[in-house]
Amino acid sequence: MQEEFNNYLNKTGEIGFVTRANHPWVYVDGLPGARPEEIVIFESGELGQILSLSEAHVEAVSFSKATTRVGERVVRMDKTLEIPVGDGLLGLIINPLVHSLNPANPVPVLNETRAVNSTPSGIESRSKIKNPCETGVTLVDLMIPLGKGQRELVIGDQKSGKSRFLLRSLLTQVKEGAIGIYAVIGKSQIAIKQIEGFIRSAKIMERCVIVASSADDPSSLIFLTPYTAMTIAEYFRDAGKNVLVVMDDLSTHARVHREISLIGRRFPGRSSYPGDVFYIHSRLLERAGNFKTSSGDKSITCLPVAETVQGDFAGYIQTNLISMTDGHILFDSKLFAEGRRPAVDPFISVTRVGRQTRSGFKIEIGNTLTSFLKNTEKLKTFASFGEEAGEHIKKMLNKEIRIWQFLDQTAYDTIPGNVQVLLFGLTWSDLWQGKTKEEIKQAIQKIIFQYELDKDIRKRIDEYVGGRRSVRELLERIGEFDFSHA
Amino acid sequence: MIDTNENIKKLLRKVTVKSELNLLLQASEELKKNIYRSVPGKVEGVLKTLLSERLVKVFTDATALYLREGKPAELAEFTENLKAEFGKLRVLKLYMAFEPSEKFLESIKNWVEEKVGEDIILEIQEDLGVLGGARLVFEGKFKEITLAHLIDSFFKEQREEILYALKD
Repeated sequence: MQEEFNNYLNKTGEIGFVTRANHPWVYVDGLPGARPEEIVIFESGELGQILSLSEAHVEAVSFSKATTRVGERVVRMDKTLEIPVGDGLLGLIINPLVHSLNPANPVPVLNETRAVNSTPSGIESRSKIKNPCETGVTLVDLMIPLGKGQRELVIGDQKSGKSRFLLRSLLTQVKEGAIGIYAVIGKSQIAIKQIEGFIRSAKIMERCVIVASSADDPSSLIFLTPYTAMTIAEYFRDAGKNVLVVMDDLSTHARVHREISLIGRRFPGRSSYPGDVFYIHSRLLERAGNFKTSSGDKSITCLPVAETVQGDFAGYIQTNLISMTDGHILFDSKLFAEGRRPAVDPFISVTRVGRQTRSGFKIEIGNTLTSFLKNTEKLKTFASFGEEAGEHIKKMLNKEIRIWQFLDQTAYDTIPGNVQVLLFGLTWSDLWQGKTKEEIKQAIQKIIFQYELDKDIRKRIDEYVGGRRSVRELLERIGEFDFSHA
Repeated sequence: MIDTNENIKKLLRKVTVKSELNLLLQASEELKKNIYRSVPGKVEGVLKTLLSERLVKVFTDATALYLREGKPAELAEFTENLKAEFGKLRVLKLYMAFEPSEKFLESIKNWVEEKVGEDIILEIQEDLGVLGGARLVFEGKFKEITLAHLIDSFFKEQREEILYALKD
């Protein structure tokens, strides 16, 4: 550490002395050649980053947990923050400075480094979002479809099922060949362990990278987390892979930025957030998209997360994120309490670019479901008046129950796309009319298991679903595929 | 009419190191507190506990004029201006392996005044690791002209030859 410090000291020929420390802010006297965003190294070996320059001193933030001592010497490293990137990161759980959090699994030596803060690519290197991004969650894939390269905000209260949905999406995409990057921003150690545990038990860890900062890490380090995740994503995109990045969650990130800015005596704006709180997220999310690379179109799909309080998605950070993403999936805690899984409100959720990746057939399914469910919601208001409902209305309401049961995904991690379509067909047709909830549940279970285990059945289903171009065509021979009787 | 600025400049020329500067600041604060109090010998007594003999004489010479001519207000102005002038001085830090004598410090100061400027004050820190020579820090710039650095560089450059010689 001392040797590294001395090397930079001799290389730059400049030195600074800490005159004031208000953790994580450090005010340094000296360093005449300092530049904003330049990395500095303290005598203790800890790193910091220069955030601003004034006539009297240099203002930097330290990435260390310990408070910086006044009088400590500081040297600049003549470069911006860079992290090592490479295939060796796969399977690791690292902190934002790319140090392994598992001592038994250290970060190997990597030859390439990339700047953590980079300018998002311009329009000439971007391509239209054309390929669907399956999440494995039926309700989302059919009614709020996503595309590869889309930035879709996942928003909802605490404990409304967001993390489960995110991990399922990660699982589906990694199984399709993408690289998964999960950025855990300022969460508890238990939450980090749970996420790691799920990814390991799903046996996808070797194609994932977890970038984690815990709540007791310094705020400057927590702030870096999503930028590190995005930098690693860019590396894999350039290496010819599609990437799914989850950022859990950006509302904590905004709070950390507020904390750093207020301690640094930056002028507070709305809700005491600094004026650049929009910019810190927009410049991050703009780095995702569908890009033209040397190995064809490769995408970075981003699922940023925003937490709400008591369903208030009209908050400052929440509306910022809604405006800068290509849609949002809203998790409603009331629906969660009612037992709906996932607790997504499909009528308020939006996808701006997902539908252009779907075939006319799938769009028709989505529209059919959405309009039907909307109409039955309205019907329920009349039905609650207590009058005897007509046969037609009773049928609709029963169908609605079957549809919600088909959309329920408590038990299954992911459901393949063709199975989703088949199950829709079976539910939409009146084949399962008259069945109890338990019978429908078992029927769905059988079909899913048979698709997973029996290659012939899988082939038959894939061929049938793949050859249909409308809902009418789907329903023509749907009865042949009711494997629930087998 | 006493020229306060000239008086201050004369005083500063006689100060070599930052530690002396800090003591003089304390002394001027003490004087400021007692400008309108007549307790004979009190201020002088405090000054003798704060400052070295040389500095007591330097400081007393600078301030005696105001007291002789009965100008306490100008004396107060002098102490304020002194504080401001001290703040404008640029500090040259020297890390040396020994504590230099006053004569040695005087010669360094004269050289610095001649080559760099008159508004420089020295800050000497003892660092045995230097072995010889000095490390200089001035306005954020760093220069190492030490024996330790020279030895270190020598061993790094001649590493192969030394190892070869030891093996023989």
